[in-house]
Amino acid sequence: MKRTTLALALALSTSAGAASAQTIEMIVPFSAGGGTDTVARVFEPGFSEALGRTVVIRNIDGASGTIGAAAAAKAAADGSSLGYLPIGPLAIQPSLRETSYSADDFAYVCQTTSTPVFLLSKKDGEAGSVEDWVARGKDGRIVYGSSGPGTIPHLAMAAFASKADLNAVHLPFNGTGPAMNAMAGGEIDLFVDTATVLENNDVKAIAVFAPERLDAYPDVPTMKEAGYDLDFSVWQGLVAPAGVDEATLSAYSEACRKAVETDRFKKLAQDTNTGILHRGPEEFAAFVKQNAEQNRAILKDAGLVQ
Amino acid sequence: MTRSRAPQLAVSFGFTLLGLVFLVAAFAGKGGGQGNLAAGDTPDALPRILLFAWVGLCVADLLRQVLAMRADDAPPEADEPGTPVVLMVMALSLVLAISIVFAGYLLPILICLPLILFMTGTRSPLALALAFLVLGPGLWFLFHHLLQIRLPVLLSGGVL
Amino acid sequence: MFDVAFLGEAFAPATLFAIVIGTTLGVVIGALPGLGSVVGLSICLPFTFGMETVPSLALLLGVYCGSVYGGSISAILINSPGTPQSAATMLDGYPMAQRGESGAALGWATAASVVGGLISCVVLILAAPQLARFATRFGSVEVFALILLALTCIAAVSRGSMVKGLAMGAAGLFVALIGTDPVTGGARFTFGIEFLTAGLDLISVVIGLFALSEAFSRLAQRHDGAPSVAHARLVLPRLSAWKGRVFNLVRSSFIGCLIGALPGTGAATAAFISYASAKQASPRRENFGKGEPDGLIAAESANNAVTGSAMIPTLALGIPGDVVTAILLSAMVVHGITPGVRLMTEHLDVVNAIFVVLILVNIVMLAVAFPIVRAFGKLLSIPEPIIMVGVIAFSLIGAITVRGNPLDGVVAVLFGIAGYAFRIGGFPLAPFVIGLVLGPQFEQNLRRGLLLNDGDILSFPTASWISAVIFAVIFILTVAVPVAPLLARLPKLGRQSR
Repeated sequence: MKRTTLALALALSTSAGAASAQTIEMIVPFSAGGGTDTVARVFEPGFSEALGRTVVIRNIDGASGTIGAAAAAKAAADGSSLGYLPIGPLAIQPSLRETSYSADDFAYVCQTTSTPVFLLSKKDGEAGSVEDWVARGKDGRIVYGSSGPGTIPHLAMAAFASKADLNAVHLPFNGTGPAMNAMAGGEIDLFVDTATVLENNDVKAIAVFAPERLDAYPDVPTMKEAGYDLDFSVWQGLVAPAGVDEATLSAYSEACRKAVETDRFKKLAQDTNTGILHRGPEEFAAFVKQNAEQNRAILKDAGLVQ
Repeated sequence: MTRSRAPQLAVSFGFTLLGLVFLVAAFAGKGGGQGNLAAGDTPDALPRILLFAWVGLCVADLLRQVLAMRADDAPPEADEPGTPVVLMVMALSLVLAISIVFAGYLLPILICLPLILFMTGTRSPLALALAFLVLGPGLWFLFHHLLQIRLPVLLSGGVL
Repeated sequence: MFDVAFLGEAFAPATLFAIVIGTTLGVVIGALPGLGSVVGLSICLPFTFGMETVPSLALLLGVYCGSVYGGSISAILINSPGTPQSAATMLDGYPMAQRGESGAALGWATAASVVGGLISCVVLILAAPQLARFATRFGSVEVFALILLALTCIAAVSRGSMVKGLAMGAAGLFVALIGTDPVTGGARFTFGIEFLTAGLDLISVVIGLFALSEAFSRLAQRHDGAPSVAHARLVLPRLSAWKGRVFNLVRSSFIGCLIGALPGTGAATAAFISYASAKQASPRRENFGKGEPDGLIAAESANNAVTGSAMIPTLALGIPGDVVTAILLSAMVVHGITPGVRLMTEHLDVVNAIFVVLILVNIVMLAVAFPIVRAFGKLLSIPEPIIMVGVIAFSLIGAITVRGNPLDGVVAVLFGIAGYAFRIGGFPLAPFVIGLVLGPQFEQNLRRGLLLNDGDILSFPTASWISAVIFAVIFILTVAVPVAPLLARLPKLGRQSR
């Protein structure tokens, strides 16, 4: 309600032109109601308060987030447009397909979240450890699902399969929901996703793709313990089009830090098992670069790109 | 009677040609991508089958129409092609949609909407003004500001 | 189960208010060509952040159910489906309106929608866990068989020329493939245009093909005199008129319930499958496509039955089946409710409140339908050219906002022009849309099935008893039914020749 009255007052004010020039458009590359959008909508109030400017979310959906990311890269670099982008369009898709943008087309504001992913199987399945699955993948074949080609579930499993030399079949689904249905029906054996998916479905965690065991899940071994040094997480961050001046960038980055620290954001993170991880501009830029290279190498190893 | 057969044939012909263009693309291009690691995946098969069906059925239909033309009976179910006005409306709608991509929503709609209204026969100044205000700036304000569903803008962050 | 505290929440003034507002808004948004369920829900989502849990879910459920029904109003009155879900409603609804029976057509659609919605509520309440578990047995092969069954209705709706209808169906299926390959992730048929890698948006294409081309074609005809629908008033069918149609209503509702429970299939698919099966079963099948109430009943009861049963995987398994249920789930998350397998045990009060809300929404829908239809009828007494320009304006906004991409507006206009050309050429539009709606699922399930079975498509019918049954039905419909009359005539021919 508050947002509407605010917008109404804004639009009705006589100096509509001047007032609207203050509005920041935050592009979310998925449709309203999706996972990224939910976090972005909780992030936005804190960010706009810290900055003292109106921020509106614009959802641009399509092609695994690359259409929205391209729009964010192409927007005017005057600080009026930002992109709230997750790992896919920033660090995977540019290696997998031809995108009109690259990692250099963004100025990195800050990273907001980082959530480790788990190797999941059906709860009542007999194979319970990474070793069991490796044995099965060498004798026969294992079928793993993903929420689409080039997503983290796909990438992590492809990396595992190529490292452990498994006979694995990849079945891509249209999102996590249908994949979970397929797992319940026994069509797929393994899936990789976050703790939210683990908590909400009849699945069990076999291992976590993190360097160390998580505090929240001390019983779940890491992939490293099983002999496969694999580290995967899904993350999100705020970017601006390249060329934004330094003063604006540091103001945004400061506001972003405050937004991440709000109780509202912390509560959402807790409710959705999202890991909060803040990185400043330089750190974030370096991390994206390193992460994109790592993903590219995996895609190459798995034979998904030349 | 035979006169109204020409546009119908033209549509059939155009539709066939479009299918052919895609069919050529399906065999010329690299198609569906690099391929899956697993055996049994054939990314190119389905598009090709569908395109053959599209073009094949269309050619059959064209032949049928040409044969029927010789028999010289009335053309079957089809709309009559319209007046030049509708061609203008279609062209203007296309211009409107394309200019929204480059110039934001508000400006093109302010220019094109009155033209379309006038062209389609709304001549009374009151009706023209009312319809324009409601369907033009009215809808824009409703969506862009009241409902916070962002429509394209000319300058990012700007009012237009 | 015997704790009735949830009733207090469901009947709280705030909830009832949210139901009425949500349902009304949903019906209006659904009725406006170009704006559908997703746009309606996106409009309401920000408001729910400041509301209590049950009222906010009531608002969203009202918008969802209302918009699925609302699409039928414009489908019947101006031959433009307000939402893709009601594309099948148009097939018989508009011919009825052309005959001057728009009131009766709206009545059938409304009654069928409400009954379909209520039946699915009952199914949801009584059998959610069982049905959810049954739905998991539909693997890729089974869903592929189901989609194949739905595709047989391309032949059923090919009015005029069957060859043209089949060509349009193939073209629709193909157009659905443009974009990104769902298995390899590679771009295909995009001709180097980045926008096309996202594929063509279904809603934009449907808006263009039906709503815009209808507007163009009306503007072209320029017939003077009031349109036949100027004074549309909703007339509910008499009880006696239901004679011989009740079975159709119930069967279509159950088809809707089953399809709705399968994650990722949707109301448009359900409507077309139900329409095809009604056409096979109805004693009045010759009238289908010419304004037969049975066709309307089949389409509308099935698409509204999806609204309740789409909640089945969502509530019982925590699996969102589509964008709509994903938005509902995210509204729950914002209110601190973790959706998932334990939702029904841990938040039984919320689940029960949802059940009651869904029933109330369907009843309120019946009540708000009368004034909204009358207002829509009044709206239609505005000179037709202005209405059609309004359709153009709404279609453009709808196309642009659905994915937030202005290029979708261009796509809608191009398909509007194409649709106009198809009308001139005598190509039926419905088969194209059926192909387009079913195309992505058709391909993805086929490809997954092939991956699982080492590329052996002949193994599909024997994959499970479910797929065996569905393939048997497909065989009966496509081979046995058309061939049987021929065989029956054979002996007679023999006798005659003797």
